[in-house]
Parts: sequence; C-alpha cells; structure tokens
Amino acid sequence: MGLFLLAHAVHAQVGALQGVVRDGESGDPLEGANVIVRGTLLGAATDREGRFIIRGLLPRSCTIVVSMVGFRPAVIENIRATDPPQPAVEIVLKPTPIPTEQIVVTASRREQDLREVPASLAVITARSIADRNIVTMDEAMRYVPGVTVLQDQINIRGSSGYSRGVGSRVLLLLDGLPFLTGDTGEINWETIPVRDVERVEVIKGAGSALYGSSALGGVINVLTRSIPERSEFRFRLSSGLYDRPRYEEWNWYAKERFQSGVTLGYAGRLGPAGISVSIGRGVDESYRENDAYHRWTVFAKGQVDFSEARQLSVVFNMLNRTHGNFIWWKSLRDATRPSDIQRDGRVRSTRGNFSAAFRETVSERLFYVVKGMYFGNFWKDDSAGRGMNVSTSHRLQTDAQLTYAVAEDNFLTLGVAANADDVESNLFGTHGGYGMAAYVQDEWRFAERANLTVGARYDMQKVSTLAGAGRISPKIGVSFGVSPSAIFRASLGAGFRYPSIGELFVSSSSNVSQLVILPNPNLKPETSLTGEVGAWTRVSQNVEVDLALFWNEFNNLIEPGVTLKPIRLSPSDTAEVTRAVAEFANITRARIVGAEAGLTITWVERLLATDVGYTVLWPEDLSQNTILKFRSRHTLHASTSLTWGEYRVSADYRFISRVERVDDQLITLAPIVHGHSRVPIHVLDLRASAALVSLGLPVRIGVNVTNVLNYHYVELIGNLAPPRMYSLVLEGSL
Amino acid sequence: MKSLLPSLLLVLLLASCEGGLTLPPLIEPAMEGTITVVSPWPPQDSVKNLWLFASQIFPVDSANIFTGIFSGSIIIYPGLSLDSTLAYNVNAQTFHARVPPGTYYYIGILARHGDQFLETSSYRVVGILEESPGQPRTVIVREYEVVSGLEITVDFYNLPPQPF
Repeated sequence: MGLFLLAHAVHAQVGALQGVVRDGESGDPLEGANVIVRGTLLGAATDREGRFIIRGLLPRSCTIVVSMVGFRPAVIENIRATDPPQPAVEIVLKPTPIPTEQIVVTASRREQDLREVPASLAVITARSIADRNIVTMDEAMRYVPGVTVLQDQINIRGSSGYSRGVGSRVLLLLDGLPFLTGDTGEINWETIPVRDVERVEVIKGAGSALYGSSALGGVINVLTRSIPERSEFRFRLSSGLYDRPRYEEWNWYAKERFQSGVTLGYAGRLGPAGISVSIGRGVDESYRENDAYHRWTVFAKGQVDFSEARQLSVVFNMLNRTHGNFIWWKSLRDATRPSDIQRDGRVRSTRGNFSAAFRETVSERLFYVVKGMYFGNFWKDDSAGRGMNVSTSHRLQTDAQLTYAVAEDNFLTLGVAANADDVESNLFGTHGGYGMAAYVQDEWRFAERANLTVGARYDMQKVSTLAGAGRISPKIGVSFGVSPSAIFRASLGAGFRYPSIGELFVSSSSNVSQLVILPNPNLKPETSLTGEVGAWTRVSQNVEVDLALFWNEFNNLIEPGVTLKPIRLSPSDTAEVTRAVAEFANITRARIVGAEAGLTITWVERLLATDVGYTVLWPEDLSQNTILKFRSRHTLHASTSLTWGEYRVSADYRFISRVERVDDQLITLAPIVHGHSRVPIHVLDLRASAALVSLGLPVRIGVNVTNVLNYHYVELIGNLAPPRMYSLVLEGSL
Repeated sequence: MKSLLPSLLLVLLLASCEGGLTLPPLIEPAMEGTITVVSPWPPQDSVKNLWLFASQIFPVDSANIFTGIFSGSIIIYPGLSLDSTLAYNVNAQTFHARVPPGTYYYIGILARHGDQFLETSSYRVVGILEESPGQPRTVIVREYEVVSGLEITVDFYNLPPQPF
C-alpha cells in the first residue's frame, strides 16, 4: 500500500489525471490500490476514499495500470492528463481470491508490471505472512515454489547447499539495500521486522547485474510498510502450543512447550511527516532442549514528504535475542536433545540497522534515490564452558540510483554503490573491507507488449590485506506478450559472490561442532551464469499457468570440507595431532538444470483458489560427477483457500523429495549420530481466520495448525523439524 | 468433480508418507572385524596374552598408556585381565568389541611376552589397523552404531612401529 509518492513535475506545462478505484462487487472505495502511468515513472496509491491524483504529467492521453492484492489488475487507456485535471475517472477492480501482486520493484529497481519482468519472480504478501502466523521470514520462504530452507539457509532452485548459513548465495535486501551480516555474509532472518513488512519479492536466478555480490541464486527484497494515511494503533498477540512427538524418547519435557509473541505498534501522520513504531516480544520454549529463545524487537520508520515529489524515509530496526545453541541432535533416539557438548551453550546477539532513503521525482521521466544503511551485528557464544566466541561487525552501505525515461518506451537506470565492513572477532580476526560498484540497465519496449532489458554491473571488493577483485556481471532479458493473456520471457544473467570475512579468516579449535576450523585466505569469488525461458498464460478467466525452464552454471563454489588431518593445535606446538578439520575451499563446479510449473485456479464462483508449484532439478557436481550435496530433486507446493466474506479457510501442503546426498565426512567426523537419517518431507498446514468487523470489533482472529500430520522429518541433518503446532492469533488496529 | 481432483491428489500423496522418521533400534556402540595372522605363530610360552586395543590417545607412549587404560581412553578386548586373551594359533578370528563412542586414532593387537605386566617392555604391538603401511587408521564410533569391517593383520616377525 502506498507504494508511490511520486508525481510532481518541474516542467512549466504540466497536466494531471485523477480517478476513484472501487471494489467491483461491493462498490466500496479501495484504499491502497497502486496506479502507475505507463511510459512514465509516475504513479500513486489511492486514499481512504479510493481517490488518486497523479500530477506532473505532460498533457496527453495516457494509459494507467491499477492493481491491488486480491483484485484483478485493470488497464485503462486513453485517459487525458490535463491542467486542470478532468473529472475523476471511475475504475472498477474485480475481486479475485488469488492474492497476486502485480506491481513489483526489485527486477528493475523501479515500479513495473510483474508480467513485464523477464525472470521468475514470486511475491509474498503481508496478508499471507499474517495468515500463516509467520514468526521469522525464513518460515515464509518455505511456501514459495522452488525454494527450500535448510534450517536457516535459503536455497533458491538448488543454488545453495549447507554451510551453517555462512556465505549466502541468495542476496537479501531490506528496502533495496543488501542486508547480509558483515562477518559471515549470512542472512539473519530474525532481524527482519516481519510485522512491518509490506511485501517480499523473490527473484529466482542470478541478480548480480543490478545488485552485485551474493546474488548467485536469487534476490529477496523485503519492503517495509509505508506510513498509512490515517493514524492507527496496531496489536498482534499469538500463542502456539507444540504437540508431543510420536515417540516417548523424544518427549524430554514435562510441561507443555509454547511459542508466544506480542507486537504493539503505532503509526500516524502530522502534516507532511509520518512515523510508524512497533515493539515486539517473542518467546519460544521450543520442542527441543536448549533451543529456546527470548527476543525483543524494535522497529521505527519515519517519513517526511517535503513535497509530492520529494520524500525522505528513515528506518531504525533492532533485535536483541538470547537463544540456546542446538546445532544437531544427540542421536535420532534423542532427537530433541542436543549433543552433550551443546547442552548448556547460549548465544546472545544484538543486531540492528539504521537506514535512510531520499527520493525525488524530478519529472515524469526522471527520478533518483539515494540510500544509506548501517547494519551492526554483535553476538557472543558461551558454549558449554568451551570458551567464548565473540564477533562484532559493522557494515556501511550506500546506493545512489537514477532512473530516466529516455522515451515512453525506454527506461534507463544508472547507479553507483559502495560498502565498507569492519569485523572484530576471536573467530574471524580483525579485518576491514570495502567495495565499490557501478551499474546500468536499459529497458526498451520494442513492440507492443515486448520488452528488452540489457544491463551490467561492475563490482570491486577488497578485504583486509588481500588483493582486491573486480568483476563485471552482465544480463539480458526479454518479455514478449503474444496477447494480453500470454507472455513469453527469456533471460541470461551473471552472478557472483565474494567470500565473506568469515569464510576467509575463520579459525577455531574450540567450538560446539568439535571440529577444528581453519582459515583459507586464498578463496576465489564464486561465479554463476543463469539462463531461463518461461511463459505465463491465462488459459481461461479462472486458470493461469506459468512454466519455466532454467539452467545455472556455477564455478568455484565455496564449500566447507571436513577431513581428518594432522595439525598443530597452537603455533607453539612441535608435535602434530590428527583432528577432524573443517575449512572452506573452492571445490565445486556445478550445473543445475531444472523446470518449474505453476498453476493457479479459481473455483466455485471464485470463492476457492488453488495454487500449485512444482520444481524439478538436476543438480550436478561436475567436479565429482555426482549430485550436489544437500539438494532435493523435487519440490511441490500446493495452497488452497476458501474465502467467504470475512471468513477464510486455507491449507498449504509441501513435498520435498529426500535429499540424495549429504556431507558424509561431516556426519562421520563431527560426529552426527544417525546423521544419515532423512526422509521425504510432507508438511500440511491448515488455518482459519475471521475478521470480526461485522461484530463491531476491529479484530481478526486466526487459528493455525502447522504440520497437521505430525510428520517427523529433518530439513538439515541432525535436526528434527517442529512437530504439530496449534496456534491462535489475534490482531487488529484501532 | 473438478474441485475434487486436488483433494484426491493430496490424499494419495499423504497416504504415501506415513509418519516420517522412526526411532532407530537401541544398539550398543562397538567395533567389529577380523584379525588375520599372516606369519607363523611364535611359541605359545612367548605369547602370554593377546589383546585388541583401541586408543583415543595418539601417540601412545609409556607415560600415558596405563593412565589411558584406567581412564577408559584405551579399550582392551576381550577384557582387562591377565586371564583374558584372544585365541592362540587361530589364523583368522573375528571380534566384536563394545567401546564407548569416540574417535579412536590407534587400533591394533597387543602381545604380552614378559612377566612384568606393569613394565611396557613386556609388551609388543604385533599388528595395527592401517590407513597405509605403518600409518594407523582413525575410526569414529558414534552412539548406537557398530563400525564393521575392520581388518587387522598380524605379522609376529615384521612388527609395526612400536609406541614404546
């Protein structure tokens, strides 16, 4: 909602257009619908009365696209931009239970129609996050077709294996800026302010041509909520109860275990300024021993609209957390207990970011955005008296982008970015680093419904005393609509990832994994090349199909290897001892070929909606001529929902085929007892919710049952996934 | 009817998934394998005892062997007594030694030929589990797991490197 606040022209001759957007069934005005003017960079969001006005246009006939989650988008042609504006045009959106988002920003760094994007892109809406009682964002990712999550490490179309999160091959963005930790280059899901997210866009495939390092497998852009037009006080209470596992041996706890959370928030505006603040408290007692967490979250966003064309927003976001250090089970017989050495460990962390973004729409053809972010991470791990590991990292990032509509059918985006890191840790040492980048992308509509995108980015990274490394990442993409209901797309893009300070310099002989971890400052950057061809078509009013074939070539993949090796435990030792040793190395050349099919159907007068996504992969380790570790060949996601007025019942099912190959050496040498135990994953979730507005209460109540079958499985070796959970959610706004 | 199709597919899928991971059997950790003597046997009165040992300490020397045995870091099979021994004059015999979970860096066959059982000079290592010639192989034994297929070769007239 409120995606845009554009539209103020500096031209002497300006026009404007205005309208009202209504629900096609009830006739009620729709607040928060997105309106964009094709061929320009201008747009608006509707207010409480469903009204919008877009200024700064050159006087002429325009085409606008109106979209909103839960409604079919509408394309209105031949609307005159005049001065003064003509009477408001009335636009009607037809409801659909398919929660589709049509306007996205990640693929081209500007608002564009989802169907113009020449790559596969999925959108997670705030509504689905709330409906599913998502606590951390990695849970939401599990519902995206083609995406799997190994504990907390995300894997888009097989791009990632498992490295305890270190060195993510998926780039996480928070409001368009990279949001990976400065020390280990990983995603810390808990730092994402879930309750303040407007939507999440997931690009499947390499995205380094616009976003640089780490975007080998994909890009996830988390967009925080805009400040609403009217003041509101928000609250959300949730409580979940873990069911007992099937086996008595796994019932280690006498009292029932709960997961609970409360979030309180306020948002309001005073003239051109607005603020949104929320504070959250979460406690998870966990179904596993020494796996509980307690956390506080604070999120604040401020926004100042200097004019309709100039906007400054600032964000402060912080997490403070204490949690147990369950790395892997003691054995499958004691699957809910950690190995003895992990039983008393605790990790305390404080993480947070402060960011600011200034955007100015200079004219209907030109806008620029300047962004900056500080992301700080501190954690300490006092694992079972085996010494304390501490890491403090600071990351500064800036990005300046300019987008110019060269013509109505040609958009040029230019930008520069820079980052600086500083890490101090007994695990990783004391190191600094910096990087600089420049990018350019041109989108050209070369025919009606046909777009060509060409771009490239140059990145230079330097870490500590190591030599700097530069890289150019090009891309090309095309989308071609043979009709309004059938669009083909194709893209080819490069990705790369510079190794994190953690991978380069980690060194430890005392940690809960019981492995000696050695540094490897000779690591080279990973690279990838992604190709995709796909097609989307609306077969009928009620059926949409999306098909994609993709191909990824990876080089120099960095993987943690575990071996037995004679080493000196300290530099002063003269004798060598044989120990299980882990170190990161460029060991793998890989190819992942796959196909993805998506089907969306609405049934029974559109009361019932079903989404099915199936992905098949052939992930080859070309170095060893075998399947890549920690990949599943088949994933199937199916969701169906029945919406009846204020009531909604839905179900999610996901199937992930058994991981065929894992790290045998890790299992043997760590050791992880019964580490080879794994099964195909079948998870069924059910939920029901009701808005109590008709009872005069501004409240929505929801009941969720996750893992209804109480199916026992592992996503990651040695880690039993949660059993069935019953949860109750109460949320509302005043 | 069309709306029943996904439901039917779902039921079929779920019917095939049972309950997932099951509880593995309770197994005492152990190592097992075969001891093969490839040389002639020495006179019986020169081999007073033959034991299999598995050591979590490496290297073993005269200073740490006895503390290792009494602390449980070195396991003696078939038993820690002068009455127990592996069979004499059997060229191939199997063993199943229960051991605590752990990493065993040095596994082999120990022979006692002297009468002073507290003197390391009374003992000789007559064969080891090898990674490569003369190089001990490490074996990791985990909870609920039996490590099988260990092959130890004994040559009474061509001894491996001695720890003491």
